[in-house]
Amino acid sequence: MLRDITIGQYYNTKSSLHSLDPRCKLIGLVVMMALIFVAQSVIEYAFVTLLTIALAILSRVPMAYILKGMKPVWLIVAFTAVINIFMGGGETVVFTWWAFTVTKEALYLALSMMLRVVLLVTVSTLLTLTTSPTVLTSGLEKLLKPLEKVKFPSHEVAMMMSIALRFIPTLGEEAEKIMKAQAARGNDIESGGFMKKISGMIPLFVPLFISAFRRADELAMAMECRCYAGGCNRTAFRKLEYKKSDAVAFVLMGTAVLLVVIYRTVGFLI
Amino acid sequence: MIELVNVNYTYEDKTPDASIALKDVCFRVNEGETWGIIGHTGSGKSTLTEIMSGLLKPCSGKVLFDGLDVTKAKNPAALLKGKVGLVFQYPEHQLFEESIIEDICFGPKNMGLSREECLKRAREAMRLVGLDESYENLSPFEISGGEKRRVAIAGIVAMSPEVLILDEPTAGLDPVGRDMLFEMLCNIKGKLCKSIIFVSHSMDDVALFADKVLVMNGGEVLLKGDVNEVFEKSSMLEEAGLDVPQVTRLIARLKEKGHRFDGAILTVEDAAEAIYSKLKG
Repeated sequence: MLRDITIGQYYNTKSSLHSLDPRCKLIGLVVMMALIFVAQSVIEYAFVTLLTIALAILSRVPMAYILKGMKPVWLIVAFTAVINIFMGGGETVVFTWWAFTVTKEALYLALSMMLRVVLLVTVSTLLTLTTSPTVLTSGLEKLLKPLEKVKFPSHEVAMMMSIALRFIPTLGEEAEKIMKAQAARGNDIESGGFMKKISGMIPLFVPLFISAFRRADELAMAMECRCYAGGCNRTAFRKLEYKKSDAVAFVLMGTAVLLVVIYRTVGFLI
Repeated sequence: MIELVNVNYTYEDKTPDASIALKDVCFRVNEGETWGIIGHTGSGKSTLTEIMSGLLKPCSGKVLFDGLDVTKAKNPAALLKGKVGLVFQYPEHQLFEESIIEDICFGPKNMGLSREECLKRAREAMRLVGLDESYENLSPFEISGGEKRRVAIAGIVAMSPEVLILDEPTAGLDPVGRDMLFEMLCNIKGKLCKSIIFVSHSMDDVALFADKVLVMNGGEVLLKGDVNEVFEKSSMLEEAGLDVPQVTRLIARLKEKGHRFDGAILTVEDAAEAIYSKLKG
């Protein structure tokens, strides 16, 4: 169950997305997110959805694998949808039930919000699925480098992020182990009421937190033992270089942005 | 007491990631026996312990407890609560309560026992693992690693299981800690649990403490039986990449050289005696 989380996981295969420069992919992610956020009309939503699907196909990661990782997100998606449907306001009433009124505008808002969340999660998952954590970190560090002029700790931030990503599966495994161990002591989180389930979580979370802190402590110690010291002009083992395919990707990104801008200003395409 | 009949288990069954953990395992534990389970990493030892305690349901085969097939139950673990106790590897990582006594009470409490009964059992368990009353109200996080492990084992013992299963109870302990642990297990077996099963990497531990041994190799039972019988077949064990106890290996070498020894020689004392009498002629 906990091993199913694919957010932040790297899927090792060969594809055109995998071979892109991490900086290019990071910028691409920002661009995609911006496009998803500015989308308003049906055509714009269709456009970003198609782009996302195209990216997913390009990544050569099995669709089922991507969708499996979305499982924990569905709850949030459903929640936002419900809130939006009932609190959306608007005028064109579709139906009224008890104290709730559902309007056409609210339905549209709810649907678009759902789509937005799903697309955002998919694009960001695609980034981590196609980029190994080490490469991703060095890309992020390079991108944030200019910010060092204003005392922004770019190396530290990148390092923190990669460690966080690295520990997602480890903590998942740990949680599974603790769950089993507590089940052996008769802890039951599957049956019983809501309150019983909540109190059944305490024996899982306390040891999990303790082990997370212990791991963090040990990792810090191990890094210190190897004389690790933040970002004092460390050189990279693998130098990042832009290739031709990155240029192509940048051009495609620019085209996508341009299309949306044209559509927005002129109101139609071509 | 516990009997496994043709048990098979596959992780992630019916998916591309399927990996077979157990193949046709048959194994029977009788009352009063102490079993040692040995085998390589990935030979299915831990899976076996989880199946015996009802935490995992086998994909096929039967798990009988006192003749009752527990695989038919909806929740085998609930059925075996208080009958089979499983101590996981590094059990000290599962402590969570504010005081030691509360943590030990967690298991009995989940069995639905009264507060007085829980406390009574917890104190009894603490005594069995060698922790005195002064520990009761300490936090389980301010004691040493070895003591934490005792507390964790006490947490299972307090459920007074008829069979106690331990997955690598000696992992990460020094020789003194190991000896103390086995002494403690002997104590528990005499007073509370009828049978003990433990997983170990060390042949020497098994030779010293167990009277029966089960050797696992690649998810299958390679050998099982009395300790001395199994260690006789040292060549088979070595084929599976397992070491025989150092003493057994020494005696086997001497036998190769043409010396004759009778009876089972499992401990350093036995060997010393045998060699001494040989030298005397």
